[in-house]
Formats: sequence, structure tokens, C-alpha cells
Amino acid sequence: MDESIKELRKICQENRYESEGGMPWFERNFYRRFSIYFTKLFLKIGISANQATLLSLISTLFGGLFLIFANNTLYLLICALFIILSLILDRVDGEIARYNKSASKFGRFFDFMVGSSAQSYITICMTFGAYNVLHDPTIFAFGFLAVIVPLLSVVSSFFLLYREPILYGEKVLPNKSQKTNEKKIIVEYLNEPVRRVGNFLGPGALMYPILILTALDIYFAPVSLSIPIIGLFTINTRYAFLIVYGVGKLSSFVLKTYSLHEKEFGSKRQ
Amino acid sequence: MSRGSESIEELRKICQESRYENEGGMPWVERIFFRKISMYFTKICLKIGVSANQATLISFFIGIIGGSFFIFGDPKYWVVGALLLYPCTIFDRVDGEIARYNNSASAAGEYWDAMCDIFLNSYRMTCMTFGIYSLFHELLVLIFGFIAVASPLFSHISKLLAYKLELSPEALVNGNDTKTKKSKKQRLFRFGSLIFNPHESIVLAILAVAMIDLYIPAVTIVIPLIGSFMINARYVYIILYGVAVLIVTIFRVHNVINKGTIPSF
Repeated sequence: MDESIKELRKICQENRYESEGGMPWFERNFYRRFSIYFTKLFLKIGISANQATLLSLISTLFGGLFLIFANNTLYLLICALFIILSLILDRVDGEIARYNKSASKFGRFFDFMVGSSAQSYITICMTFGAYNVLHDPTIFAFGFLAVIVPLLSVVSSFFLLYREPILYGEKVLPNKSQKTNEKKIIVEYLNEPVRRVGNFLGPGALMYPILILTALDIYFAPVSLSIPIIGLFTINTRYAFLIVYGVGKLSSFVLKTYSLHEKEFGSKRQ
Repeated sequence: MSRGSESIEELRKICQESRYENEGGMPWVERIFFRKISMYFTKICLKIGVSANQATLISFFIGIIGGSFFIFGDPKYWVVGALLLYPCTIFDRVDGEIARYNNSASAAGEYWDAMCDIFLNSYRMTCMTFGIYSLFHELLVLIFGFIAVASPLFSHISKLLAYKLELSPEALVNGNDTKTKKSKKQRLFRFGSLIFNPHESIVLAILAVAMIDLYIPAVTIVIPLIGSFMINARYVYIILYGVAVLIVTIFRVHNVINKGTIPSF
């Protein structure tokens, strides 16, 4: 492989975004700009796409460990470095696969499994990080919620994707003109800002709020709230995020499943 | 002939036998502990006119109530919780039997059934983790709890994603019939799933470990370099459950990537 960086960009990056109408701005400036150097290095050493995915996983594991103990700026910076490295390596594997023309569904499978486990792992590490500051076991209740519900909604959507032709049949496949349902509008309205930011930041977007919140916790002291009946409890931004994220994901999951129920059983009732 | 007026024997033929036809017969744990009793409930439900989805809902509510008992550290509560889980798993079988009787089996019903199972399993494991944490107050319990909660979900994701990729099961690719020839590995996984599979006999396993804890107090283990831990049977169960499912999942992912087939576990 003697291609220059520019040629490599053409081979590995440009055709990836052809069908999406060009590379998004954030993706271009923050990931792909650096990822191509890693790709070049890895291609020279002879690291395969799956090995690059594995390296991304290892980098996440280290980043998470530092996130647990991130009570000062140095640890946070090391953690951020590892996490951003893992996000870049996550792009590198695709580039290597495109260069070697070794892109396969097994590679995508592995990439997806590593991506989803990295997200849960980082959430768990953040929970332990917040516990290290507050020493309040109720954090773990919300931590468990924030880990379970996203995974549960992935399982649910896979069930549906796998069985879609059977479940919906021909007639009730989701159609864009049918989206006048009130509940659906509420769900979409609530999800819209989150979805937009998520799309803007690209895959692995959850890592950024987690890093920012950890930074906030280093510089701002936790606040004590007194809530009637429950009593006094101390909260910091990470704890607040876990509550909002866990409960928000749960409610959107319930609403989504409920609208599916209406679609499936409501159409039978008529 | 009115609904459910068949004798138990006839109902068994209609509702149960067709379920296990292509799996080569009903496993003995299933037959003795669950299907024997579930039939009577099915008969009552058919007479009253409970539909399959309603049976799923009954099972879900009993499961939520039963799972909540595990949040207490006292093994007595766990025994009560496990006893409440028993009707939950019975009703989990009843819904399928009703659907087979009424010929109302649908993909949506199957979806609800599976999602309820998966949700209840996660809920139960979370409550168990907090129960054991309230006994020992060790962060390590929560780490193993997270593994025990997340790894079954990853296992489901890996299985479903592999099916979505339209991979074929290992047995079909290798051309051997699973009924006649079972390798040592398959037998090991079969045994493992008997203990750990939430659908089969997790109730019995939980009941067993809770009973052990009722009579045998927690033991302190000293591991050189790492330190000393308090463990009891329930804690060991959670550790084994999480780690075993995680290893199986990693094994499956490895198998899918390298061989391109879905293994039979």
C-alpha cells in the first residue's frame, strides 16, 4: 500500500457517505480527519478490520477504568483520550475493510456487538464514578435502569425487525403518511432534539455528555435537595443525568411498545 | 362441545405435544415440574375464557410482585419470592397452551411473551443484586450484578442479530442431526441452560440457593493479594450466572464471526 493520504481518503471514506449525500460536518472534522492516519498505519502493520474493532474495545475498557476514578482533571483527560481513541478506531475498522474489500456482515455484527457493549460499559463506569463521590447506593437503581432499558429496546427492535413481515403483514407496514397519531407526535417531539444531537455527533454520541458531565462534577460541588416525604438527598450532574436518561429511555420505550400494540391489535379490532 | 370440556389427557395432546415435536420430545424438568401442573390452569382459564395475552399479563404481574421480594436480604423473603415465581412461570406456559388450543398463536403474542420474559429476568436480577448488596454492602456485588443483568440481554442481542443476518444454524450446515448425535459441548450447554435459562428452571435454582442460605450462614473467603470476601450461596449463584452467560455470549460472537454459523446454544 503506497497510496497517499488523499488517495486513501478517496478509497476508504468517500464511498461510505455517497448514499447519505456527503459526509456530515462533525464526522469529517473530528473523526475522519484523524482516522485515516490510523488506517494507514494499521494497513502497513497488517492489522485486520476485526482486530481494529478489538483495539477499539480495549481502548474503551481503559477509558472506563479511568472514568470510575475521574476525580481530577488529569484522570479525566486520560479517560477522554482513550474514549475518543476508541471512537476513532471504531471508524478505522470500516476503512480497513473498505480498503481490503473485506467488508462482511460478520464484521458488521462484531462492530455492533462491541459498540453496544461499550455504551453499557461506559454507563456502568459512570455510575460507579458518581458513587465514588456521593456514596449513595440509590444511584445504582438508576444506573441499572440506564443500562437495562437501552439494551431492552435494542432486543425489542430486533425482535420486530426479525419478524417484521410476519408481524405487520403487507398492509400495516409503517408508512410516513400515517404518522398523524397523537401519541406518536408526542414521542417524536420529545425525541427530536436528542435524535438531532445524536445524529450530529455520530455513532457513540453518548460518550460526549458523559465526559462533559464528569468534568462538571469535578468543578462543581454536589447540591443537596430536600424533597418532601423522601427526605434530603445529594445530587450531582452525573446522578441527575442517570435519572433523566434512565427514566426518559424507559418512558419512550413504553410509549413505543404501546403504539406498536395499538397498531397491531387496533387494526385487528376493526 | 364447549371450550375446555376435554379431559386433561386430550388437552395435553392438543396443547403440549405439538410444542416439542421438532425438539425431539419434552425435557424431563419441563415435564415434571411445569407442564404437569400448567395443564390444570389451562383448563380453568379456557373455561373462564381467559385469552392467551391475558395469561401473559397475569404472568407478568405475578413476576413483578415475586421479583420485588428479592430486594430484601433475608433468605425467607427469597423463598417467598421464588414460590411466587412458580405460578409466574406456570402462567408463562399457560399462555402458549391457550394459544395452541384456540389456534390463536400469533407473532405479536410471541413478541409480548418474549419481551415479558426478558424484562422480568432483568428486573429479577436487579432486585437480587440489591438484596445481596443490602447484606454485604460491597461494591463487588454490584459489579457482578451489572454483569448478571447485562449479559443475558447481550446474549439475546447477539442471537437476534445473527438471525437477522440470515445465518444458518450450525446443525444444518454441518449436516448432522441434533436428535441422534449430541456432542459433549452441546450436552454441556444443554446442562447449563437447564440451570440458567430463565424460561426453564431458574425458579428451582433460586429456590435451592435461598434454601441453602436459610440454613448455612455466609462464609468469609480469604484470597491472597486480593483480600477477603463474604459469600453465600445466592451471591455465588449471581456470579456464576453472569459469568456463564457472558462466556456463552462471547463464544457465540466468536463462532458467528469465524465460522459464519449460529451455534446451537
